[in-house]
Amino acid sequence: MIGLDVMIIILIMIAVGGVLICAGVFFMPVGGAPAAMSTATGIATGCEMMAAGAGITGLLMSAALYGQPSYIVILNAGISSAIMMCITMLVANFIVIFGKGVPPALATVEKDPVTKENVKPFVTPGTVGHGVPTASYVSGFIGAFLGGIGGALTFIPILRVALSISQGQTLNVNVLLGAFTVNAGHQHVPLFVLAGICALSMYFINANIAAYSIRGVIEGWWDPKFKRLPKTAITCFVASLVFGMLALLLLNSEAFITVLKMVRGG
Amino acid sequence: MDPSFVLLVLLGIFALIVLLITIGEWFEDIESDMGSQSNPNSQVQLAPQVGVLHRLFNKAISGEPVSQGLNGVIGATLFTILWWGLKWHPVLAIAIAAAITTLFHMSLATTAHVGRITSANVFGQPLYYDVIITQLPLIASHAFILTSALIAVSYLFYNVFFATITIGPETSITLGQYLGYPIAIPLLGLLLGITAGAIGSSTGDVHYGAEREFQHAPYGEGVPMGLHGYITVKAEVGYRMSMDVAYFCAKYGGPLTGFTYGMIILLDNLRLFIGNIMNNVVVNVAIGATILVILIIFNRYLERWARNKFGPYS
Repeated sequence: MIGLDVMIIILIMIAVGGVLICAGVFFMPVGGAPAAMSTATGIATGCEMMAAGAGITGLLMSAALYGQPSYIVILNAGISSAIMMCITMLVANFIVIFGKGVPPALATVEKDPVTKENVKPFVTPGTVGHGVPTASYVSGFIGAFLGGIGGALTFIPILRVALSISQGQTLNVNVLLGAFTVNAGHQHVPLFVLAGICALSMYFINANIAAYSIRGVIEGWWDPKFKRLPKTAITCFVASLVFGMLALLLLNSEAFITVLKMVRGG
Repeated sequence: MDPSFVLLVLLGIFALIVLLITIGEWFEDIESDMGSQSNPNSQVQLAPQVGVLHRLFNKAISGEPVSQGLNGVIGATLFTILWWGLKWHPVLAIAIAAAITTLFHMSLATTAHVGRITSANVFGQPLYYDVIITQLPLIASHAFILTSALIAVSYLFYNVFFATITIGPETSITLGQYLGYPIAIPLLGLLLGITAGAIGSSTGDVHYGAEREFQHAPYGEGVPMGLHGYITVKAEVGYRMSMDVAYFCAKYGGPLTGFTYGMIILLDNLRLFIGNIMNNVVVNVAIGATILVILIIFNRYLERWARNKFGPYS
């Protein structure tokens, strides 16, 4: 059985993870379908897909570093997601600049919030900007970093609880947050899959809630739609808390613990 | 066996993974352009409503990431059954699993295209039989290459993680400490597929949506809202088909999309690899931070270059 203190920490980690994923989506310059036609600023895909696409790179990194202390796993997952996002945005700019011949431009503000350059003259009339300008780029980098951290915050507790129950270890805060000594073998792969699916669903749940709030296109932290973040973050907190409780119910159930103990047998 | 030889073999496997993912993603982008999948599909769907009838293939009933994730998970699951369950040779299992997945993909593409076009029938859009039978083999062949790349990479990542090489009578090296993920092959196929779709949809599709779909509009400006739906329907010769789109996007959009995914897998695993060899996670973080700073500076340089070169809108 899982102790109460560990349970509370797991719930907080998952709920905070949800809030971070939600904030990450708000920071990302989501351009949606119009961005694919160079009619809007940002990355030419939807919120969920961008959050999941960037988050998965972080999840894979968390799986590879499963034995390290939690804060290192979290930091590395964030950096991995940010690398994925930054390369994608850079190549999107390459295609907009050399494939269509338009310079990146913002439409909601006169001056770029990061470089303080005047960006309005570069916007084609009839469009709301194109490409990924520096401010959107920095915003996307922050968003992906937060999103990657959020996914890792879900992945780590679920994996560690499942692994330590299967090994017959006593579960305490140290196991949850410190370095982890179990050597993963073939028999542990289902547990990684469980944690991976939970973290992946967290991306879809929270990015979806954020997408309803954004409704299409957002440029970055200066966009008027960004003001909706606090309310959406509270919604995501509650949704993730419910999700965390469901995950804990599963991990704490008699039948599941029996299955986990069978894993130890190989 | 010499330990440095093991390292060399590991680097070779790493290079193979990057190569496979690059080629797979290249074909993924062309496949999605040919099926008008993802965001540019909005224009193909809108065209009959503004009176522009077309001969393009339109199979977008889901986003690209979900579609490629489905391909990845079906292929990887079939592969696991054939390889792990029936003990087939992995190379044969990859080919057969990818072939069966392609059949799934073809049936999905056909029903999606027929459904999408018939829904536009009220605006006078005809359903061309020859469009289906000429584009479908092309879509299938591109999907086959992507699926086999995804399965092969999933297999390599999984197998490398659990591989142990004996280098002496007492010592052995676990390759998993340098490369690979302890995630089951079907889930790895799903994850890599979703990422492939997300990258293809956000980079390569811009070349199709912004340039190839609106080739009659002036080069050097974004597509204004007023032009939406008025896509180019005439080709170099005759009416444009989706294979003309593939021919154009394979020159720039496709390779760059492949380059993106290849770079992501390369840089992300390289920092893990170097950090693990030096047995120090701080190196991981330092290399990652350096890469990020270089990318941000390079993007700024590219932006300034473009603004100076093209100038303001006139």
